[in-house]
Amino acid sequence: MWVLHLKRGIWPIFKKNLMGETRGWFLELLSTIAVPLSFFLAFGLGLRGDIADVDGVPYMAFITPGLIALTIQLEAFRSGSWNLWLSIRHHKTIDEYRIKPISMADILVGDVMSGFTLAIIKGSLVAITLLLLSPFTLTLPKLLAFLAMMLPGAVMFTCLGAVMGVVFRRPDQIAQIQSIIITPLLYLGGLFFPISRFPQAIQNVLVWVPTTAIFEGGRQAFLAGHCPLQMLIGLWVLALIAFFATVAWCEHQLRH
Amino acid sequence: MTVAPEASTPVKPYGNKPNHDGIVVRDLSKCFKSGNHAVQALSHVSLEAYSGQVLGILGSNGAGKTTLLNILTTVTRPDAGEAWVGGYSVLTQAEQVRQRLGVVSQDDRFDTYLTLWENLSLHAELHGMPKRQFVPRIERLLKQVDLYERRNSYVELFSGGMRRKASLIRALIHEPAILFLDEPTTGLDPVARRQVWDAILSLRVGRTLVLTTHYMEEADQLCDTLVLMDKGQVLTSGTPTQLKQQVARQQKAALGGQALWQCRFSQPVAGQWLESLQAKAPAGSVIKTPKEDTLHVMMPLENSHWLWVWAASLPQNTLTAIEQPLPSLETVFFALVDKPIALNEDLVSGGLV
Ligand SMILES: Nc1ncnc2c1ncn2[C@@H]1O[C@H](COP(=O)(O)OP(=O)(O)OP(=O)(O)O)[C@@H](O)[C@H]1O
Ligand SMILES: [Mg+2]
Repeated sequence: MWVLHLKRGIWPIFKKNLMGETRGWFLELLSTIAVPLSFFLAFGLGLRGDIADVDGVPYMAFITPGLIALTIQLEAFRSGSWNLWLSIRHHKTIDEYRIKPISMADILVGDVMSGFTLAIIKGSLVAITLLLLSPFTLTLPKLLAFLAMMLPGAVMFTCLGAVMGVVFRRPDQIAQIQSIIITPLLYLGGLFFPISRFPQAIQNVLVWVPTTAIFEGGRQAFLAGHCPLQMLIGLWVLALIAFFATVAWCEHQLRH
Repeated sequence: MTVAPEASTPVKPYGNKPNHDGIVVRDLSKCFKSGNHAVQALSHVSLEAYSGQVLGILGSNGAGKTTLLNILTTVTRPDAGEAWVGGYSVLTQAEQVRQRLGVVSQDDRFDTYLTLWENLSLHAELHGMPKRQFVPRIERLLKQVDLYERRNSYVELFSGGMRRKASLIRALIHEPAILFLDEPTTGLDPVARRQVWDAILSLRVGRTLVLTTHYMEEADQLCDTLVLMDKGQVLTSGTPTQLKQQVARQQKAALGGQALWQCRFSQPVAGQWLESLQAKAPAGSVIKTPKEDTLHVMMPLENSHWLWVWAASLPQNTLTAIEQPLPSLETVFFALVDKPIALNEDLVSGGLV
């Protein structure tokens, strides 16, 4: 069991990944905010008159939590996959860390943790930007409830990314997975509209998809300040399983 | 904990723990398979290096040098055989081995999006060093290789040679007992190369150093023991002089009863000495002056006593040595790796063959 092999390597690896991100932070910040901000302006402001309130909530407020969640999950997948891919295939630093007196589990845990931490940080930056532009005010309990729903999603997407980073040899393969799997998962999960607008047959499928819980649950937490308990527990259980399984699987793959 | 976390399929420990804390390699084999194509990168490699020694591994491209180093540094797992580094098994005690390792890999592995300082301190932290210990040490090492001014630059902006130097000092931060250097001077300018040579010679005290190189001069100057590899096998090993003598013997046989002698003088060779030698030398002898104070004589072995007769007739203290010159290490390499044996490069360059 990899937990038994953990040593002091997690923190240095975690720190190094975050340090790498502070480089060119201004452009990084702009590129993180650009997509959700564009959606916000296009749908929230541009189509304001054309889209009615959704379930009694102004559309602008309705999509705000969705756009923050989108940023977090995309970022989690991005850093989860690229951190490992670069280290294994490009910089080859994985072999450099391997010969230090730490374990492979340290490296993987450090990588996954920095992945979802970064995602939450970037999500928060988007949240601040969008909240400055909308009349909506966020109270602390609402924020905490929202983060409680976001964090397990971020863990899952970082783990999914990490597995992709280990599996694929070419960078374009990761981009393909992002287009084929990640984007539909995110966009169909109730980001722009409640899934109750879908035909019943599709709804029956979507309720089983974790992203639905992330978006629906996140929105409820964000707007009303309480987490749907079932979704919350389900997401956390899934996230923990994903975390343990991912580290174990990657550790196995990267042995020698 | 003595079991390596990455120990996948347990390889049966081979023999007993060696009684010294240098490097012991016994019967290592490694085959790389991809699809239906297989490369036997190492087959039954055995060698030994003691603390205080510099072991040089020579061999053509693809000979298996890096693969061997990867196994000894616990990066790659062998298919068969066993190795001990610093007294610990690389198969079952990887953790202890890693604590004692310093490695300069062939491809400089850096997080290029971080600065040099960030890279170096990360590696010190991974070795569990406290900040007050590693900061002065990194500063001192950076100054030694003239990289101190560049410590806050991103590594991706570094030239090849600068990365090489950075790799070297990174391997030294935690003062390892065993150092592996995979082509440490490739891409360095002559000044930097000398610096690295000096560093290697000063580091050897109390440490075991293993280096690979394609520069024969470097191997000759730095290494106490050399291992010559080809196609994953050890061809021969020994001190540089032993290897040269081995090849000199083979060449002697190839020269068919002829022998080459080198006479060294304390002053330029005078014309009348040469004339007297030509007069005394047996028929068929070849005499050349490759340098103005050096003379090469090739003559049948059974007649070579003439040389001493002639030497006795010279003014005192002019002739300093009569010797059979050993081939250079480069000749050794050509002779042993590039079979069939190439006739003495040194003789050719001396103009005798
Ligand atoms: N990971 C790998 N997968 C497949 N083949 C490999 C791998 N690593 C090495 N080889 C093969 O093993 C052989 C030995 O390679 P190695 O890198 O050890 O040579 P080397 O002696 O270090 O050569 P060079 O002087 O060029 O550095 C080569 O044929 C190489 O193609
Ligand atoms: Mg090599």
